[in-house]
Amino acid sequence: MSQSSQCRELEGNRFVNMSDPDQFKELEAMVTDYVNGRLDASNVQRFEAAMEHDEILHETVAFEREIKSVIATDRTAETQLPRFASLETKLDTRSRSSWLAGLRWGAPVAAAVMLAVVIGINWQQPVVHDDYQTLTDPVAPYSQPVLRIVLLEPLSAAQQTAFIEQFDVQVIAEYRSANTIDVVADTDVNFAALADTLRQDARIRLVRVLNESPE
Amino acid sequence: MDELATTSRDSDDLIDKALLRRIADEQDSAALQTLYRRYAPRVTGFLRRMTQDSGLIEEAYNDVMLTVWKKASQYRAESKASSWVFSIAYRVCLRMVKKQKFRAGVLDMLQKERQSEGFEVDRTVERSDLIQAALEKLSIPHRLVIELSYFRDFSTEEIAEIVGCPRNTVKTRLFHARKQVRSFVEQQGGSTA
Repeated sequence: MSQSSQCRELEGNRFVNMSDPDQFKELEAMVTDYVNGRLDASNVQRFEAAMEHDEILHETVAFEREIKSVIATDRTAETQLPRFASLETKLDTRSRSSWLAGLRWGAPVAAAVMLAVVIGINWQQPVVHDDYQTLTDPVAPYSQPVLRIVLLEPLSAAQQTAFIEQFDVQVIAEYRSANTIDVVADTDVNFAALADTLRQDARIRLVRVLNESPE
Repeated sequence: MDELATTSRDSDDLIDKALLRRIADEQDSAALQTLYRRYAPRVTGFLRRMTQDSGLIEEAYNDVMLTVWKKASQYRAESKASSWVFSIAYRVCLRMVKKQKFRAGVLDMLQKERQSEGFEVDRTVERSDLIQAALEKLSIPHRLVIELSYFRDFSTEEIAEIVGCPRNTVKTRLFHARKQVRSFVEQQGGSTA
């Protein structure tokens, strides 16, 4: 077996020099994509030109095709397909579409929070869901920076859940009559940057930073 | 590249993405059922290649689809839906093979059987058996990339997304896998191409 040292000119001034180990290595790394038909046209041309003059590369492709044929033969083997019914019983189809779902509390934690609210412990500021509350109502001052978001249209419950996950935020108050929510970041992010990102969202009319800490 | 195959892959991807969106937004079990049926032949075939244990396949596939159900909202639609589903299948597969220790000495068994029976085998059959045995002797990371490549025709870029590593790592694993298979086949007396 001799490795060709021939140079070929391809597509302008590109050369394939098979005596160059780097070029050979680069071409060899393309073998799988070539066999699978996943190379773009220019690389196919380059690869085939090189293969024509290099026995090792040619043999590598032939062997790779053998491996593929052994694996691909198995595609036609009959397998009893699993039944969806065997999974269906395990699905939790309870709606995840409330704002609270976005907080990802486990059931025991949620139960504890409910209990705390019932017995009047101000353990955590709850999400405000008062339909009659307005933006001009005095709201307990937030102890941290908060983003007030005015939406163009009310979001469905599912959209709200997706919104929370998309921006990694927690809703701490909701003013339904004004399509407005107050949120805090779930993770340690730059608040101004988050506000800018939110402003670019087509569903949002306005974003204001409340209680911004002075720099 | 084969344009027809590319177009078909693209339209499949659009359908899969729409189904994932319905699962994420609406917890739509009908969408999951459709996705379940669409992926069953592809994923179970891959799982069967890796385990050879049909009893485990349904359980493993359900594990994959249950994860799809729970995590659909985390799918960002930047990568192909099939890459995302297979990235879950890949992880389930890794867990499964760890439990299973499925890599038995298939070649030893085949050779012993043949020796004891004085069985003269057809050359092509022997070569494909050798290649199959060599594949089963590969380490799990090497085996998985080669199976993903040739069982489902994924590109190296897609495999990198599925496995969660750089594309060059995939190429290196493929290179070593190919080298080991070839060396095994040569050692066992099957000349290469």
